[in-house]
Amino acid sequence: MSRNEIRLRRTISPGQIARHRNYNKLMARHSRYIKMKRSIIALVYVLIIVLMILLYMLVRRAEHQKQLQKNGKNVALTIKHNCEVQGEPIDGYIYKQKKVAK
Amino acid sequence: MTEAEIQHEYAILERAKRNPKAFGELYEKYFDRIFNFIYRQTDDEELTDDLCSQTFLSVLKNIGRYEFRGVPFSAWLYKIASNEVNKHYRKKKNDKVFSIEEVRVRELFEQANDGWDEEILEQLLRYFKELPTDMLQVLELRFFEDKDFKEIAFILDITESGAKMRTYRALDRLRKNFNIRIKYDVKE
Repeated sequence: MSRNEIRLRRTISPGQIARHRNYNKLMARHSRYIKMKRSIIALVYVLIIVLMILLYMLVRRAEHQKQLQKNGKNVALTIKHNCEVQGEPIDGYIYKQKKVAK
Repeated sequence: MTEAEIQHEYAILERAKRNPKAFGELYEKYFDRIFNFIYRQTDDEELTDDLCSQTFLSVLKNIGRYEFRGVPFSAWLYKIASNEVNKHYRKKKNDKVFSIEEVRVRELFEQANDGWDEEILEQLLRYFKELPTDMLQVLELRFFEDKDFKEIAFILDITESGAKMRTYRALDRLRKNFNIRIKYDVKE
């Protein structure tokens, strides 16, 4: 069974229709839409750029930390080696620090 | 619609793609027809105003994507208008309204004055009420908007043979139930 309602009516006059015709209003709506669209596009670009900068900074930071860890290990190994040669005690972080100062 | 008119409209559309103000000529030309088309499916002047301006706004938004597909530009306009109306009813979940001009209904039938009375009119309305929406849409486009089957098929997103089948099925039922002759029966 269809769910349509059928009504009979009088023909709407051209004058009545003309009251609704307004091209300037349509143009204004269209301009608003274009402005909004451009703003959204600009916002998306800004977000993408911010995201890329954030990613770059994260990668840099991770690389930096990795580098630091690597350097720390190298220093420790060098000291350990020196200590053994000079026949001094090996253990202890403070001891290694002193060696580095030299 | 002549080939020259179609070409002229196409030229306007090409200009409108670069400058939306150029669309004004087509807006003036088709506004009344689209308004009537939507009004017939809503029977509400304010709602029709909203849907009509939404239709033209959608046209302006998508004008860059318009390409000629063998049917006049107006068919694309009707398609968008039809989509806007359907969208409205889907959102509101109301029964679809078809408000028909009494004058146009009388024009449709080649009926002698003696046989045409209010009772037949009421029977016709009952008959239209029982018709499925897709058949009503086809009848509306065919007899109230004077569209050919190719355009109807494009507007309703169906095949041309599908549009013909729906129309003839509805007309057959009309002829059987009312024993009346319908104008445009031979129109192709």
